[in-house]
Amino acid sequence: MSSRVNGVNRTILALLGLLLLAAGGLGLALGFGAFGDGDQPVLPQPVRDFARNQPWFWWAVATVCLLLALLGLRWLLAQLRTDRIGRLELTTDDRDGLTTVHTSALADAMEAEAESLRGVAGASAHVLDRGGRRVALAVDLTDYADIAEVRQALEDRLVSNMRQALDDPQLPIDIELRPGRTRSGGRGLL
Amino acid sequence: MSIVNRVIATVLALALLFGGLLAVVEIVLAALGRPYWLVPHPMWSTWLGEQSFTGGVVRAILIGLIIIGLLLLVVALRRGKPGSLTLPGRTDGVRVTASRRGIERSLSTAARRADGVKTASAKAGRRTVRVKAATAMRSPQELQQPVTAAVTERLDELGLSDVLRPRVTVSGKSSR
Repeated sequence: MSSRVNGVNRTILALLGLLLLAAGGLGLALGFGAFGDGDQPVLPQPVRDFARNQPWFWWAVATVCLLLALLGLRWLLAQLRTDRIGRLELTTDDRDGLTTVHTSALADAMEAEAESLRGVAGASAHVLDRGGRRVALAVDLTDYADIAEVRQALEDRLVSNMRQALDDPQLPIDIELRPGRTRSGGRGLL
Repeated sequence: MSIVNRVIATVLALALLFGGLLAVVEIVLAALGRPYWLVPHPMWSTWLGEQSFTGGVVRAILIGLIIIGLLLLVVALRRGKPGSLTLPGRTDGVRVTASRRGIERSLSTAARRADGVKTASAKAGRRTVRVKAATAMRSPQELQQPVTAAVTERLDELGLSDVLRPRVTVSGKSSR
């Protein structure tokens, strides 16, 4: 999931909430006579006459509805988008040839290395594009894992190996530890 | 909360997409002099023309709008419990977090390992973690210190002792 989409969702939901709150509050205030006579029709006759007599009115409404539908489609597609990337372009000079790395290969290598650690029951890695490339690694730990030891091994060995493989000594890496995922001793031997 | 937000956003986006398209279709059909397709708009228009803001149905709808609006605001603005907690950094460019559920599982396991504890559960927030342990011993207070020590040790291991403050409650539980 994209973290940016979460922010967008919260903003749009808050705006919609405010809009509904304002519409409902205004309608109730009108009904209780806050702005003069409360017994006003919901759809006044002048409004109906205006909509009937102006030929452009309904085409304008249709255009607005179409725009809203397109916004809805864009919002819907944004829910499906993730930050994950499938390939990394590592070419430094086109004349020397092109270098592309499939991120699944990197992820497999990271997962295998993490799972070889004692106390690690499983791991899953992804390469993300969040304002620059970064790697996310989730590590499932057993109940009996030495968390400090696993963390140190991940930070000392796995992180440096990954940075070396991508020739990026500053590559940002997010590690999520998930302690107590299983009671077994884990698969790793190291 | 992000999952709930995402589900609500998906439903609203679908409603916006299909509602917008349906409105366009109905407007085009009306412009061509054809009968409505799905929305009986002539009847809706007549009904709305007869209603006033003092009507019971209209007020009920307006109250419904206010309730939905408030619910959307709560869902959008509520922070909720964190999905994971950031551990103190050691290496440049490496951010290490621990999942909240994982921390809770790990702490309840640590509490259960104290002698005499029958069951234990943990709930972690942003600043504190509440651990509830139950024992069959006659004086549960005696377990307060060892359970707190076990939980604190596990928090130390996780590097969270400065982030989360443990609050341990030990209660008696009769053995059957």
